[in-house]
Amino acid sequence: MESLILEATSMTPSISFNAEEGRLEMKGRSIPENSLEFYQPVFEWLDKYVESPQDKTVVHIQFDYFNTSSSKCILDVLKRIDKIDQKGLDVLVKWYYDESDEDMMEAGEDYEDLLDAPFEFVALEEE
Amino acid sequence: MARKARDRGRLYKEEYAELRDLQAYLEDECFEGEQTDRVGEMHVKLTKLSAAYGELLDEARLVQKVGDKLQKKLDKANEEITEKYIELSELNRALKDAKLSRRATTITLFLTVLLFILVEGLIEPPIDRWAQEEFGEHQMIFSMLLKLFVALLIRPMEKAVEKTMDKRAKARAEDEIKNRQRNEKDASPIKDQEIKLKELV
Repeated sequence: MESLILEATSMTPSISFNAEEGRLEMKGRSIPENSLEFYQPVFEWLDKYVESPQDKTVVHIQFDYFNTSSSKCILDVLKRIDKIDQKGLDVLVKWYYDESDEDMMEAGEDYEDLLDAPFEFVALEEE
Repeated sequence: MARKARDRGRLYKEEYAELRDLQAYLEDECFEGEQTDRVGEMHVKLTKLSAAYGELLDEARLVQKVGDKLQKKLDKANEEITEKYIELSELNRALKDAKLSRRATTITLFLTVLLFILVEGLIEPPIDRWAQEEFGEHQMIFSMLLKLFVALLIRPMEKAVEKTMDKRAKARAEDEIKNRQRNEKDASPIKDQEIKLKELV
C-alpha cells in the first residue's frame, strides 16, 4: 500500500501516513475552508489501511490549532483508527501539545473519552 | 463504541436522558422471543438509530467544546492585539512628540537669534537713545529689562511653534487616512472587475 503524503500549508496540516511502518502522522494547523474536501483522501486511505493494518500502529497527532469542522473530521479519522483497536491489534495515539496550551491537551482528552484506542499525551516544551 | 466518558451528559443532559430511556426500552425483555417480522425489523432499526443518535450527541458535545475553546483562544489573541495596539500607539505618539519638539526647538532657536539681531540692530539703538534722554544713568537697567523680556519670550514662542506643528501634523495624518480610505473604495470595484476579467480569460 502506498504512503499518503500531503505537505502542510498555512491552512492545512501535513499528513504522512506510512502503511508499511504503521506510522501515521498529522501535524500543523487545520483550518481549511472545506474540511471534508481536505480530509476525504485521508479517510479513503485509512479505510484501505484498516482492512489490513500492521500489528502495531502508532498515530502521531500534533496540532497547533484546528477549527470546528476539522474537529469533526479529526474525530472521523480517529474513529477509523479505533476500528484497528477493535480488531484486537495494537494501536497507540500519541497526542502532542505545547506545554502552555492546555486547551489542546483537553481537546485530546475529549477525543480519548469518545474512543477505545489508548492515548498518550506528550507535552512539548516551548522553544 | 464503548466510551470512557468522564463528564458526559453535562451538556445535552436531557437528550442523553431521552437516549438512555429509549435504550432501556429497546433492551426490554418484551422484545425477546416471538414477535412479528415487522416489529423485529423496527426493533433493529430503532436500536441502530439510538446508537447513531448517541454518537451524534457525543460528536455535537465535542464540537461544541472545541468551538468554546477556539472562542477562548480568539478572545485571548484579540486582547493581546489590543494591548499591543495601545502600546504601539503610545510609542508612536511619544516618538512623534519628540520629533516635533526637536524641530520646534530648532525653529525657536532660529527665531530667537533673529529676534536678538532685530533687537540689537534695530530696536535697541533708538530705545537706548530715548532711555538716555528720559532716565539718564538708569538707562542700563532699562536695556537689561528689554533683553530679559526677549529672553522670556523664548518659552511661549517654542510652545506656540510646537502647537502649530502638532496641528499641522494631525491635519496631515487625517488627510492621509481620508485619502487611503478613498483609494480603497475606488480600488474595490477595479479589483472586482479584474477578478471577473481573469475568470473570463
